[in-house]
Amino acid sequence: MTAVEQVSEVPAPRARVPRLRRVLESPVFATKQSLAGLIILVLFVLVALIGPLFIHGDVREKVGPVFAPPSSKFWLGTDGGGADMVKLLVMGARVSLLVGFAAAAVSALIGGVIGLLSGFVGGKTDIVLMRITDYVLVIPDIPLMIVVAALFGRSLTNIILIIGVIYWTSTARLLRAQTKSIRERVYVQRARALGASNTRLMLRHVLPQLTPLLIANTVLLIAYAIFAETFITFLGLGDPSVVSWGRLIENAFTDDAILNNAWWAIVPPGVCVTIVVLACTMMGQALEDSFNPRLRSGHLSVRRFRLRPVPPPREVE
Amino acid sequence: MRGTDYVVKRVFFAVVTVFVAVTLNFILFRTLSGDAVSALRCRQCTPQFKAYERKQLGLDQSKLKQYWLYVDNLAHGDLGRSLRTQEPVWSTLWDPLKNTMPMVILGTLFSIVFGVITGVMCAWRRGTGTDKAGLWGSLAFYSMPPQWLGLMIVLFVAGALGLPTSGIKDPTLGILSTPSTWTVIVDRLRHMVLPALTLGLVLYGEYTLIVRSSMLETLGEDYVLTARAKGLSNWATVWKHGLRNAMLPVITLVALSLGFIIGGAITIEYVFSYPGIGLEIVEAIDQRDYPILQGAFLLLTFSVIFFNLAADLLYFKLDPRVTE
Amino acid sequence: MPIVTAGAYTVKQYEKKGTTVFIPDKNFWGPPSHADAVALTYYTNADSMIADLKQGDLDWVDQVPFEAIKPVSQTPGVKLDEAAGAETTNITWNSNPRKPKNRELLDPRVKRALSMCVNRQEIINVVFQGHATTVESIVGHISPMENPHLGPLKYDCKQGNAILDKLGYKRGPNGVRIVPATTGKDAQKAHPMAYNVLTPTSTDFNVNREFQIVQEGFKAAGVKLTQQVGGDSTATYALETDSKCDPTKNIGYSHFDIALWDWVGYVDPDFQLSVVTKGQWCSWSDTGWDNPAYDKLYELQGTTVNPVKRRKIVWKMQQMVYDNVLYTQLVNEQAVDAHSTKWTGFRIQLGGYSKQYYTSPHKV
Repeated sequence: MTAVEQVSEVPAPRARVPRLRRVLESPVFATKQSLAGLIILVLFVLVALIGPLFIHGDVREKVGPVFAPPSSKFWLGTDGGGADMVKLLVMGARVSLLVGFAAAAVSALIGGVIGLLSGFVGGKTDIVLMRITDYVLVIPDIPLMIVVAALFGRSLTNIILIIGVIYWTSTARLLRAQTKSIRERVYVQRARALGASNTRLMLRHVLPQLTPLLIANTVLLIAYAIFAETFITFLGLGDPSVVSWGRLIENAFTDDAILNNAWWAIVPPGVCVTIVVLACTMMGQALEDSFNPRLRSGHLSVRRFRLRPVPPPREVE
Repeated sequence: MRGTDYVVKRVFFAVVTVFVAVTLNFILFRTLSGDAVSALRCRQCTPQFKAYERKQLGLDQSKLKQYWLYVDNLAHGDLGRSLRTQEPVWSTLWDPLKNTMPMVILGTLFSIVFGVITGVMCAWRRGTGTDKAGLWGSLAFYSMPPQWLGLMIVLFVAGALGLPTSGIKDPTLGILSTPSTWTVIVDRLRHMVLPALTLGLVLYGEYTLIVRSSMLETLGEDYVLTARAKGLSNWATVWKHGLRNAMLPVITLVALSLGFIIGGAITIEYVFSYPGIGLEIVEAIDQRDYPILQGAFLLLTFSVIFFNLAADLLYFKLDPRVTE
Repeated sequence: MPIVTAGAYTVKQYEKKGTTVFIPDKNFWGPPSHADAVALTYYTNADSMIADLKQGDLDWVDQVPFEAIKPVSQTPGVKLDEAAGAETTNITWNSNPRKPKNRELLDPRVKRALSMCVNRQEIINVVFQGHATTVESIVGHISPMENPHLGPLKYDCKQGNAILDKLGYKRGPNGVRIVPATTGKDAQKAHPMAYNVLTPTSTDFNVNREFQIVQEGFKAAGVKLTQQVGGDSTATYALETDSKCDPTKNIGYSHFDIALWDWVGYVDPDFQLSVVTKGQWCSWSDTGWDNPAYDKLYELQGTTVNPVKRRKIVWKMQQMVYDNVLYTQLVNEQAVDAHSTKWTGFRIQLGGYSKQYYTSPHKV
C-alpha cells in the first residue's frame, strides 16, 4: 500500500442525500488533521470577529511602558509603542484574516471565471486563456507584488487587489481540468440536447459541480494571501493605518525589539500566522485531495500553486 | 510529441514570455506611474533642467516611440541609470547579485539536504512518531513567514552559535593588515550561514514530501524485497532505488520554485541586512528609484523564465513521456 | 588616481556602503594623529552595530538610534555622551496663501488650537525614549540666537476644543468637526476636518509612532488624520511642492495639507529663517509661505553687522513664524553618541553639522 494514490476517475455526482449527512460525510471531517485545521480556523475567525468588540479606543495607544515584559497586567507585554500586545494581536487577526479571505475571494472569482470559460467553451478561447495563464505563471509573484505595491500606493484595498490578481492561476487551471471532464457528463449533454443555452449550462449544471473544488482551492488561497500580506507589509509597503500580523512583525523589526530583548513582540504574531496558514493548508489539502484525486500536487500546495503538478515518480526499470 | 517539436515549443514560449515581461515592465513603470522626471532627485533643479532631462530620457515622445526606445536599449544591455546615484542600473544590480547568488545556492543546498534527510527518515519509520514529527516539522517551517523565521533565528540561535547577524563581512577585517584568502572566505561564509539557513528551513518541506512518497513507493516494490532477501544492506537498497527516483522531481522543483526562493531571499536579506539584490530592491523602493526597481524586476523575471525553460528541457530529456 | 588631502588623514581604502579606512598623512603640517587608522563603517542595522560595540570591535557611534539607547547604556565598557542636538521635528502646515483646498488650515488660531491637543511629552517618552526636549522656535536649541520668549505651547486640549468650538467648527455625527461653506473669492463647500499627513520614510526617528501620537491628539480635537507615506525625502518633497512647481507663476504647494518632518539646524540661524521665504519656493521651502514683510526682514538680518541689532531682527522673525504657526515645533532631539571607554577625546555635536570633525580621540 503506497502513500501515493492513483485514482483516474472523477467521482460521480452524489445522489440526493439529506443535507446534514452530506456535510458530515464531507472530507473535512475525514482526517483528524483537516478537522483540527477547521477548528483552529473557526477559532481564529471567532476571535477576529468578537475580540475587537471588547477593545475600546485605538489599539495602538500607549498604555504601558515601551517593551514591557509579560505580566499579569499585559499578558504578552507591550510593543515598541507601549501598546498591549494581546489587543494588537486580536485586531491583527481581524485585518489579516480579512485580507486572507478577501484576496482569496478575488483570486477565486477571477480564476473560477477563467477556468470555467476555458474548460467549457474550449477551442480558441481555451488556448488563448491558457496561454495568458502560462505567461502570468512564469512572472515571479513576489517581485511583481512589490513593484505594483510600490507604484500604486499603500492602502489595504490595493493590497487585497494585488494579491488577488496574482494568484488566480491555480484556480483557473484546476477548474478548467474539472470543467472539461464534467462537460462530458451525460446529463449535461442531455440538457444541451434539450436546447439549454451555454450560459445556463455553465451556471446551473457545471458550476455546482465545481463548487467543492473551488472551495478547497480557495481555502489554500487564504493561507497564501495571509502569507503574502506579511511579505508586502514587512517591506514597508503596507497600509500604515492598519494593524495586521504582518505589520506587528514589521514593527518589531523597525522598533529594534531584538536589541531590547523583547521576544514577546516578535514571537506571537509569527506564531499566529504559522498556525493559521497550517490550518488552512491541512484543511484545503484534505478537501482538494478528496474532490480531485487526479491532481496530485504533492501534498503541499500552499506555495506550489504556480507550479505544474508533479508527475508521478519514475518507475525503476 | 516529437523531441525537437517539444524543445522548439518550450523555447518559443520562453521567448514570448520574455517579451510579455518586458512589455509589462514598461506598462507598469512608464505608462501607469506617471512622469519619471517628477521623481528626479533634484530639489534645486530649474524647470529648464527638468525639461532637458525629460528630453534625454525620451519622455517627450509618444508612448509607442518610448517603448521601442526602451526595447532597443534593453537589447544593448542598457537598463538605464539609477535616479539616485546616476550610475548604470546594471552595475548597481550586478554587485549585490554576486552576494545573493552564493547565499541562495547555499540555502537551496540546505533545503535539499534537510528534505532528503527528513524524507528518508520519515519513509523509513513510516507511521511512527518519527514520521509524524518529521512531516509536521517540515510543514510547520514551510508555513512560517521567512522574515519572522529570520528574526527568530537572530533572537534564539545567533548568539548561541556566535554567528554574525548582518552584512557580508566583518568591518574590522582588513583595516590594519591584509587578511589571508582563507580568513576572508571563512568570514564570508560565517555571514552567509544564517540567511541561508533561514532560506533552507523555509523551503525544505516540499522536498521532504517528495522524497518520502518516492521512497515509500520504491520500498514497496517487489524487486526491492527480492534485493533485501538477497542480503543487500538496507542503506544500499534505500539509496540506490528510492533516492534516485526522488532526485529528479526534487531538482526540477528547485528550478520551478525559483520565484519563491527569490521572494524569500528579498525579505531574508532585509532582516539580515545582507547586501544582496534583495536589500538593493528594498532600498530602491524606499527611495523611489524606479529604474533600479524596473531593472531588478526584469532581471529576476528573466532568471525565472530561464530556469523554468532549463527545468522543462531537463525533465524532458530525463523523462520523455512528459508532453503536456 | 592619487588621493589629495589637506588634513591629518588620507584614504587607504574606500567601499561604497562598506568600510572606509583613513590612515594618518605623514606629511601633515599639524599635530600628528594618535591613532594608526580610523575606519568608518556604514551600518544598515542597529543590532549588529550595537553587537560590535559590545564586543569592542567598534569604538564610537555617531547618533545612537533612539531605540538602542537603553541597551547601549547597560553595556559595560561603553559610555554615552549627550547634548542638545541640531535636529528638531515638526508638524509642517501648508501655508501657501493660494492653496485651493482646506483653507481653514491657513488660520493660525485653528492651527494653534489643534497643536494644543498634541502630547509632546508622550512623543519624547515613546519616540525618543526621553532623549529630547520640547522646542517652540523654528531655530532650535543649538543656536544661541534662539528666541526664548515664544509660547510656550501648552498641552491643553480642553482649551483647544473650546477655541475650535468658538470658531464655529461644530462636530458632526461621527465626532469629526465640519467646516461650514464659505463665500467670496476663495469659496469652499462645507467639508469635514479630515486631512492626509505626509510622512517621509527617511527620518532618524520612528515617524510612524510620532504620527500615531499626533493623530490621537487631533482626534481628541475632532479632526481625522490619515497617514500618507511619502517615500524618501525627495519623493515627499515632490508631494509637498508638486512636480511643476514654479515660484514666478505662483504654481505649487496645492496638494498637501500637513506633513510631519524635521529640520537639522545650524548655529547661525540664517538657513532656518530662510526656509519660509518666497525665495526658497520649490527649493527649501516646504510650507509655501509667501510674506513680503518677512522676506524684507530676512534680507535685513543678512546684512546687519551689529550683533545686538541683528538679534532683535532674528527674534522678531522667529516670533512671526511662531505667530503664524507655519510649523508646530514638536521636539528638539538630543544628540546621543556612544564611545568605548578605552578611548577619550570625543566631542559631541560641535555645532550641528560639524560633528566630530575637530575632535582628537586618543587612547585612555
